[in-house]
Amino acid sequence: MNNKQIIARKYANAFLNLYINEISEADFSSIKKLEKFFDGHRKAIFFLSIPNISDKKKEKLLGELFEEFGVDKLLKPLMNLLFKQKRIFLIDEVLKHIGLLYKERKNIMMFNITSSHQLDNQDLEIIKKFLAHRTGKKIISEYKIDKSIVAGIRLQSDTLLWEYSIYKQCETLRKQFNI
Amino acid sequence: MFASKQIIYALFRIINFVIIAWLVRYLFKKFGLPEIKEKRSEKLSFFKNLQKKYKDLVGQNSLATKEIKDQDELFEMLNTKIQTWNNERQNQENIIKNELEKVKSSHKERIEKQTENMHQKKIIREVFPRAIEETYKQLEKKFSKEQEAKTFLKSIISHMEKSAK
Repeated sequence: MNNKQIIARKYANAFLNLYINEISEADFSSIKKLEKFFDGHRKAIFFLSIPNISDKKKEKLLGELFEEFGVDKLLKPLMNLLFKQKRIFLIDEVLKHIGLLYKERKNIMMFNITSSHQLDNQDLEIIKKFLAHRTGKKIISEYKIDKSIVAGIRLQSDTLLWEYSIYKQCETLRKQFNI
Repeated sequence: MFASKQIIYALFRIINFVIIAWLVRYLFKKFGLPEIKEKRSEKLSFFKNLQKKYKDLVGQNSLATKEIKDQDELFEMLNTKIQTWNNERQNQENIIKNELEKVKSSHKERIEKQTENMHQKKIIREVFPRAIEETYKQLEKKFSKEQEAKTFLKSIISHMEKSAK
């Protein structure tokens, strides 16, 4: 962990100490989306670190962005603090650590559920139950359909992968025979 | 007269006899005895020589007997040694033969394995990719039907449901 990450983790810790009970599952999901947005738009972070651009402009832009993701009220105090301490360029790292620490404290595990064909809510609930049983943690999931797995289900977190699909079976065979 | 003549005659006969006896003895002593002595001593020395030769021969004989006995013992020892060497050689030969057999059989086994491996590799290289590809296509076709795919997904979810209980 470098210095930037250590500082960001401290901010995330402090933020969660104060607001953890105010973060809903939807907020958490929005924070994760925001985190992904920053990952895909590094220019936004660069923009925040340019000293020539006034804080007001940066604040306005960030405010709009947070509003877009529906977390403006929740993250406003954090944003203000970072602006005040001239560390707004750490926002992406802080969000990343908020996500990690929130999961850790709430005993949550994030899974991407992928299936080849549409699953109904009941099926998704069974899958979540299965994952909760296996991991012993509360499961938050994102669902998507991926036709490339032919037929089956893939459950993936940052650290775990469970897959039962035709694609996986064929891949395993290919790997087994070094094809 | 006659009686005295006869006495004289007898006396002269005795004297003659004595003279002849002395002469015979003298001649015997003069010519016969030395020769007899010489021959006797020759015979004696001959016998002594014979006796000495006999003793020598007996000595030689005992030496030869001892030598023969020693030679026999040496021969026995050599024979035992040769037998031991022979056994050892035979053992070594057997060990080498066994080792050779082992090497041959392991070599044969290795060649068989290599052949089998090559055969398997050939199958894997040529047949398996086609088989997997074909299977993949068939499964893709099969599960392109909504109902088939849903049944498959349901079976997975049912398995999850059971294991979560």
